[in-house]
Amino acid sequence: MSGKAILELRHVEHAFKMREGLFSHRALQAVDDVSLSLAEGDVLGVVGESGCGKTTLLRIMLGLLTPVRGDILLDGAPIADQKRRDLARKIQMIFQDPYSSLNPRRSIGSIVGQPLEIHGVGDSTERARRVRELLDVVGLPTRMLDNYPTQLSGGQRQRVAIARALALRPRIIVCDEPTSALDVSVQAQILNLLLDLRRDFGLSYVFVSHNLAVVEHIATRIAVMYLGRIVETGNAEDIFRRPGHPYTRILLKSVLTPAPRAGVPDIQLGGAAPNPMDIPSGCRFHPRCPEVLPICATQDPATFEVAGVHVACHLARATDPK
Amino acid sequence: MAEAARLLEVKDLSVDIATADGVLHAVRNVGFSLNRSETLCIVGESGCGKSLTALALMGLQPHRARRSASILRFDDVDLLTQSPKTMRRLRGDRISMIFQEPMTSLNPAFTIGDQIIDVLRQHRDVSTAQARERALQLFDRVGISAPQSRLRQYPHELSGGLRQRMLIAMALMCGPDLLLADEPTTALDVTIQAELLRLLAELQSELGMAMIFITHDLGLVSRIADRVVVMYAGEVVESAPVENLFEDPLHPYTQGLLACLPVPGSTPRMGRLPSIPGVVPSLIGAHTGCSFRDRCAFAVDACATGEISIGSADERHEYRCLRTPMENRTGRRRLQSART
Repeated sequence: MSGKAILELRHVEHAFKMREGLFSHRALQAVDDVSLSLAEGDVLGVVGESGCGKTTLLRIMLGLLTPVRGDILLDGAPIADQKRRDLARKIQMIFQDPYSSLNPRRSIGSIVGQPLEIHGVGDSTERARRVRELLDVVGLPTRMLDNYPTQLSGGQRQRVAIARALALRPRIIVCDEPTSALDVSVQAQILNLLLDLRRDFGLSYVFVSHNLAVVEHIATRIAVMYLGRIVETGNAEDIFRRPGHPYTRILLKSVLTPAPRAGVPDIQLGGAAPNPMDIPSGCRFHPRCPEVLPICATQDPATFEVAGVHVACHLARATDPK
Repeated sequence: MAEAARLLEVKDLSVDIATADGVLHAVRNVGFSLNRSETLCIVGESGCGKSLTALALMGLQPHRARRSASILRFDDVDLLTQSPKTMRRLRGDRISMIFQEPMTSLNPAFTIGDQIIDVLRQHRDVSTAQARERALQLFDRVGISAPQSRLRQYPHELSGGLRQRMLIAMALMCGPDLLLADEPTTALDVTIQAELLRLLAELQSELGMAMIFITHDLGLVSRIADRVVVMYAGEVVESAPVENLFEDPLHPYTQGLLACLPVPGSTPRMGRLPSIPGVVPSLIGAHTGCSFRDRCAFAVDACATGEISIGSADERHEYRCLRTPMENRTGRRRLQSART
C-alpha cells in the first residue's frame, strides 16, 4: 500500500563540529546526502550499526535538528517553514527506553493528556475523555490513569508512550528501537499493537531497529545506512529476498535465527568499525567489504537501480538497466 | 555421561532476598550440571533469576540475599563451604565472568594495561613484564588491533565492541575452566555480536573451557548452546539438549517463548505474532503450584496446589509441568494450527 509521499528528505546533510585542540574544529559528517521518502501507510525500516547516523536522521525528520543542507518536506511543505507546534500534530516519536522517556513525577493520565493540554485541545472534560479513549486504544485499563510510571511494567510503559504519541492524531510516528528494551513476549505484543494502529488510523512509521528480524516483520520499505549514507533502499521484501549491497548481505547474515547447532555465521566483515571523523576514500565501505574491487578505493559509487531497489555499490552497476 | 567430565554440579540452589514486603524468592531450587568444554545457556525473560543464579554460583549475590543449596560443586571444590578468601582466589582464575555492559565492569580511572596485568598478578606469581606479554598475546588472539598502544588507553577511549573484547581477554588471562557470560553481546551491534560469538566459540574449543551463557535471545541460544535451561519466575521450567528444546519444547512457557519470536522467512510478514498473555507473578511470600499457571492455556485446578512434579521425555529432557509430553505436544500443535 504505497500512496503519495507524506515525508520526503532531499539531499539532506548534517555535520557536527567536534572540538580538536584549543581553537580548531573538525567536522563529523553524521548524515551525508540522504534522500528518502515515506509514503502514506508505509513502514520505513532504517537499519545500520551504531554510529551510522540513524539517530541524527530521526532528529532531522522530527524537526529537532536543522540540517546543514537539504530539504525536508512534510505533506509537500518544507518543515523549515512550519512551527514546532504544527509539526508535533503531524509527526510524533516513540523512544527505545520506556524507563527514561516518561516523567516519573507525573501520573499516566497526565502524561498522556499533556500534549492535548499544550495544544489546547477541547476543554478539560473533553481531554479526560480523550485520555481514557487513548488508554483503551493501546490496551491499558483506565484504572491505570492515576498510576505512576514506576508502578508499570516495561511493556505497559511503552504502551503509555504510544498513547502519548497518538494523542494529537499524528500521521507519522518515528519509532527509535521501540522494542529493544522489552522481553520477547512483550515485544510481540507491542509489534502487534503498532500494526493494529497503522491499520486503524492509517499511520505511517519510520522504524529504527538493530533487530533485523523485527524490521523484516514490520517494514514495507527498508533503508540501510552506513557511515551517514543510505547504501541501499527499496521494498522490504525485495531487499530481504535479494540484498543488493554487500553491507546489507552482511547485516542479514548476522541475524541469529533459531537453528540448533548451526553455529554462528562467519559474516566476513573485515576490519574495525569505521571512524565517522575519518571517512575512507572512494566507497566508504570498501575497507571492510568482502567483495571489494580496485575501483572501490578511489571512486565513490553512484546509486544504481536494480529491480526497483536503489543500491550505492559499484557491483550493482553491471545489473542497472540504464 | 562419564563422571570424570563433570565440571559443575548445582542442586536446589535458592536465593532469598528480604524486602520490606516479605521474603522475595528470587531463585528457587535451581539445579543443573555442566561438563567440561560444554556450553550451557540459561534463558528467560527479565526478572526470572538467571543473572542472580550465576552470581550466586560465584558467591556474589547481594549482601542482603541469602543463598542456600544442597549441592554446589565446582570440579573438586565444594563452593558452599569455601571462605570468602578462597572464593576470591577462584574467581578470575578458574572461574571467570563477563557482563553485559563492558563500561561498568572496567575501572575508568586505570588504564586497560593496569587492569589486565593486575588480573594475572593477583593469581599467579609472575612479573609485570610477563603479565604484559600474556596480555599482548591474548589481545592478538581476541582480535584487538595495535595491542601495545591499547594497554596505555583508558576504557572510555574504546568502542563497545573493543571493550567487550578487552573483557574477554581479561577473563581468559588465567585460562579458566569455566566462563560465566551474562548477556555479553546484548548491548552490541548484530555484526559485532556475530564476530564475538564466533571468537568465544573458537576460544572455547581451543582452551577446552566450559561456558554458562545467560541471555534472553533464543536465536543466539540455538546457535551456541549444547544444553539449555529455561527459567521462569525463579525456577527452572525446562532443561534439555539444544535440539530437543527447539524441536520438541515440552513446557507451555518454552513453547510460548518460541512462538512469539518473529523469524524471517517463516513468520508471516505483518501478521499477528502470538504472545504470552498476563504478567510474571510476584515472587514475594510462600508459593504453591505452578508459577506459570495464570498465563498457561492448559492450566487446570491441580496446577494451583502442591509441588509441581518434574516430567521427562527422556533422562536428558526434563520439564516442570503436570501434563505428559504427549499432552503438551498435542497442545502446542493445536495452538499453532489455531493461529494459521
